[in-house]
Parts: sequence; C-alpha cells; structure tokens
Amino acid sequence: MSNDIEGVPNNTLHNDSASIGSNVSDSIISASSGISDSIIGLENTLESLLSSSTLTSLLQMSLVAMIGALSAYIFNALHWKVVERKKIISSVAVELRAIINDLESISMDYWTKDYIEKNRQDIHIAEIAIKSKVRLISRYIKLIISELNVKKTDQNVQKLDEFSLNIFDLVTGDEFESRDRKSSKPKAQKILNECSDIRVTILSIDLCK
Amino acid sequence: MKRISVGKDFSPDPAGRYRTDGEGSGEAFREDCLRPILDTGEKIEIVIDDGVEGYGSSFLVEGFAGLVKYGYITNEELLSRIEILYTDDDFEFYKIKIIEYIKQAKYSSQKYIGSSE
Repeated sequence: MSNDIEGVPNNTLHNDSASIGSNVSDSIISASSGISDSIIGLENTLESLLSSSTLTSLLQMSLVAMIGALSAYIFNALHWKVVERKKIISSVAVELRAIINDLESISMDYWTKDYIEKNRQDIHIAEIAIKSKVRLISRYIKLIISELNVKKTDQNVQKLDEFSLNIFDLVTGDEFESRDRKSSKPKAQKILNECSDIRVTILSIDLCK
Repeated sequence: MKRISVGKDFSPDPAGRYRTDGEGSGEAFREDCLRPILDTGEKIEIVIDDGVEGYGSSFLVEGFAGLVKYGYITNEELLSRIEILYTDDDFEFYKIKIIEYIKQAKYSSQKYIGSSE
C-alpha cells in the first residue's frame, strides 16, 4: 500500500482496515443470520395460523350461519307465496259461487216461464244477464284452475271444465232467445242440479287448497 | 281469404236461432253471411269478439252447425275452411264451442226450410 495517511504508519492502517473489515463482515453475517431466523420464525407463525383449528372453526361457523339465514329467507318467501295463492283461490271460489247462485236464480225464473211479448223487456234483460254470467263463470273457472296448479286430469279440474261447457249449452241452448220459447221444468231442474253439484266441488277445492 | 266480423258485418247483438226470433239470428248469419262466402270456395276468417259481448248456444249451433246439418258442407270441410279469430281471451270459450258444434253436427240430417217461409 503506497498511500499512507499522514502520521499513521501504513502497516497499522492495514491491520486496522483488516480488523474493521472483519468486524463489518461478522456484523453483516450476524445480521443476515438474524434476519434469516426472523423470516423463518415468521413463516412458522403464518403456517401455524393458517392451519390452526380456531380459524377453521370460525370460517365454518360463519358459513353455516350464512346458509341458515339464506334458507330461512327462501323458506319464508315460499311460504308467503303459498299463503297468497291460497288467498287467491279462496277469493275466486267465493266470487264463482256468487255468480253461479245468480245464474241459477235468473235462469230458473227464465226457463219456468213461457215467452210473453208483453214481458219482452224483462226477458231481454234476463237474456243479457244470463249470457254475461255464463261468460264470467268461464273466466273464473279458468282462473281458479290456473291457481290450483294441478294436472288437467285432476278430478276437480275436469268437473269445473265440464260444468263450464255444459251449463252454457243447458242455459243458452234450445229455445234461448226465441219468441216461441215455452217453459221447461225439466231444464230448470237440470240447471238446479248442475249448479248444486258444482258448488260442492268448489267448496271441496276451497277447503283442500 | 275473406274476413268477416260478426259484430261489425252482421250484428252487435247476435241472438236467437231463427229469423222469427228477431234480428241477428243464427239462421240469418248462416244464410246471409256464411253461406254466400262458402259458395265461392274461399276460406273465411271470422272475428267473433269485435263489438260483440257474448253468444248463446242457440245462435252458435244454428249459425255454424246448421251449415252441416242442412247439407251445405261437411264437418271436416267446414272446419278446414273457417278460422275463428278473437283477441279477448274470454272468447276462446266460444271458439271451442263452435268447433264442438260443427264436429257434432250430422251432415245433411235435415232439410232446410226458412223460418220466415
């Protein structure tokens, strides 16, 4: 070494540099080792955290709670849907029975009397009412069948369908709207029987919905 | 293809079976509206709900099934030549009945004598 620091012998400087260098190296090595140990320690801690049964249980419980809440919501929604459907069926059944009662009353009066020209106005009103009621009955029956949500082969559905078709022919067939219409007690009796039978069917639907 | 509306081209109050029952009878509809068109060989679209509130069975039987009953046309041919149209869902019922009456009618089972004759 040619560059001496003033006043300080070269070999002293060399020896001191070497020892400083050695100390620094030792410090670096020591620090590295410490950092390495710390990293290893951290890794071990993380590993133990991830695999700890405490955390897993917490996650599981949270999941179970969420599933439980979702199930309760779905059940509640379905339950209210069923309740609403039952309400609709009941309301429609009540309306249908009322319309059938009206039709029965008007058509019994209509078919137990001959056509008389002087009563033409009242007879015409009755004919309008009958056609209107029959149309309404068909509509309500369609509605109640759609709400029942059963197969078309269901006995009650078939009875409702048949009633709708048959009552139309019975009440508005033959000499309906004719000036030659004669009273017909057998027809009146049939109308009464049909209406009574279907009221029982509607009641059983209402009770068993 | 010819289109007729019962309510607009015939009567807004189709009612009764025979001409003697008053205006708008099934007999008048059959003889004055349907039969002339069927005689031309054309297909007919029949609008049943425009301007009409409802029908009685007596009108529909006489108006439609009468074509088969009096031997003007067979059941199958009539069903193939007419198309029943409606926009009001309530009138699906009447379409079902019309088809039912046509199917049930017995071809040429009666001789036609006009009710006003």
